[in-house]
Amino acid sequence: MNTLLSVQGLSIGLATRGAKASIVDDASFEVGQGEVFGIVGESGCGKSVTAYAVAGLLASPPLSVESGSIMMGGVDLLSLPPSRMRSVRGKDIGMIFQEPMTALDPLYTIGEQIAESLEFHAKVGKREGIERAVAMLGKVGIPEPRRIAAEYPHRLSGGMLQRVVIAIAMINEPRLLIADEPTTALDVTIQAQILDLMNGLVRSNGMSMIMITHDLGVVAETCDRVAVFYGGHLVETAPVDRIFSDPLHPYTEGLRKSVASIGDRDGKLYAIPGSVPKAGSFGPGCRFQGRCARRMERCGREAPPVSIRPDGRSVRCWLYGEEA
Amino acid sequence: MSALLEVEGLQKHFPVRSGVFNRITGAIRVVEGVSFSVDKGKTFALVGESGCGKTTAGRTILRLHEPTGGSVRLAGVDLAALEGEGLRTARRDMQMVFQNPFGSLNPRMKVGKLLEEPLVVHGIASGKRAQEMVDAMMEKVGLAAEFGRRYPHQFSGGQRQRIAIARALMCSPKLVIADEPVSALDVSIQSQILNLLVDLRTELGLTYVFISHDLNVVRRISDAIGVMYLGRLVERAETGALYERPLHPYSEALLSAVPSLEPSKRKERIILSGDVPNPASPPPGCVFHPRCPKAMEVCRRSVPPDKEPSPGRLVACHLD
Repeated sequence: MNTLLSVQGLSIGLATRGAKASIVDDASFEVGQGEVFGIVGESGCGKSVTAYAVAGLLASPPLSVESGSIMMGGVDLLSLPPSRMRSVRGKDIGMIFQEPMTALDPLYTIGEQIAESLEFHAKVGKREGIERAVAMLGKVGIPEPRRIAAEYPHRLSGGMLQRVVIAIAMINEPRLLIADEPTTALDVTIQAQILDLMNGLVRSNGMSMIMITHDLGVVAETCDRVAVFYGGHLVETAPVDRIFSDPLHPYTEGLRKSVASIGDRDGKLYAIPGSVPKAGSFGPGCRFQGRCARRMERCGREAPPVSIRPDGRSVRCWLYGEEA
Repeated sequence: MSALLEVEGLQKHFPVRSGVFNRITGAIRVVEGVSFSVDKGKTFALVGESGCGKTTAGRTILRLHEPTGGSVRLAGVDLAALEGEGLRTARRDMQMVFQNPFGSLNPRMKVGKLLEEPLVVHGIASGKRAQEMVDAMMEKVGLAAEFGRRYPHQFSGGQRQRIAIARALMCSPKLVIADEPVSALDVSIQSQILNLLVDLRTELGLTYVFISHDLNVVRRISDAIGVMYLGRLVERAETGALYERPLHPYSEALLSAVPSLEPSKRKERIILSGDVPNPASPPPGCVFHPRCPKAMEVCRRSVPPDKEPSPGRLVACHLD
């Protein structure tokens, strides 16, 4: 598979009262053409900021990229000036956000908001923009697209609004779609509709997608390959079936067990002890050590390096450190 | 074993006002004829999507809303008939745990005070005795006693939910209604809190009504489940039976919509078309018929009766 996006050694810092806190530390991954790449983790693990950095949407300050490169189509996106990045975002990279209610402007009609991106990037006129917006609304499964294009966002349900957000993200046929928890705010039957729609559109257009989620079920349903984040570290990348059948990192294993277990005979569920570390406040050594069932003496002293396994998977854990 | 909680035909309608005189012109039937009972020491789950009335049902059971119709009996006592002092005393026996531990704890009270308050309000204990009870409860929910001197903002989400649970248990209730108690928590923390709830149930002989939209969570904690859609209980069954063979087409679609955790088994799911209708103007006949893949002519016209295909199981559907 050809690589579309290559992120190497990405570190993101947060400026706080004179000090710099590390939010993401040395993350590397690649997304292939036509691949759906999942980024999973819990709150504060760095999954969203990583994807926002790819789209050039980091709130800077206080967030900033400290080091690393983000290559797409032979260009380092980090080296582009903001004006050039603006012509990449929306055209080559489309974004789908978690809250469709806040992602849309309440003062413009649905049609105008879809057409805006087309007018900006493809330099089409307003009339043609609206025509193509109506066609796109049809493709994302909105009934009576012409009528809906003239409506304002508050008239639509959450599921319908998320279809509109998808239409905006897809209207310029981007090569990469970044979806940040696109179904978290939706009910489960609506989530099924939206995932089905996204899967269909991405696969039929040969696009690549980064799917950011905390939900392993969504990962299992949509992704080809997955990166697991914990405490600002990318701890494991693997093909989706291996993440579930043969997780390498103890955190991945714990996460899978804690959602999959239905309880043993006395009704006890598997649980990872301890609490999720707060972003930016990580101690020395491995960031998972305090909660890890397989902690060794070394884990407290030194942060484990990333080791690449013979099958191409990567894992950041001392259990595999010596094999690198 | 006898039922601790018996809910019979519970209804909660909210008035719709309109016009210059703000007259009542209609009613939103948020809860419409919900019946179930929970045996002592068991957990009954109410599941459904947003707006289905599950939270309102929970609050109406506790009389945080006045019921429009139906009856609620706790240990044989009709709660609807209670007033004043009688209701206050009954409230000791039934407590609620809310979804958002960031909103349900007063940020200006130290945790020790938060836990002591119910004891004082109900005149159960005060002073040194109350302090001992607070310390004991902190330990029960897995928090160090010295945390009592801290404020809620100094805790993580999971710890705050432990505090909220501790507060609900201070006056030794018989029934706890937990409204989405783990939905705001990270995945790795959810299991910890579910385990805590299970342990406390055994240790203190509690009975739970567990309200949730998350079918993976519900499966792991409840003995029986009621599935709600647009204010109606469309199916009620033992947990194992429901997951093995849902009878109502909505339960079937809801279970099918849950993403499976095995990528190799990406299943052909039942995808419901359309949205949940507005409860202010529910469709005629069966409220689910506009989205139902198995809808028949009769579904448009008449409300399906509650059927009992096997003892204790309920399904409200025209299908056989």
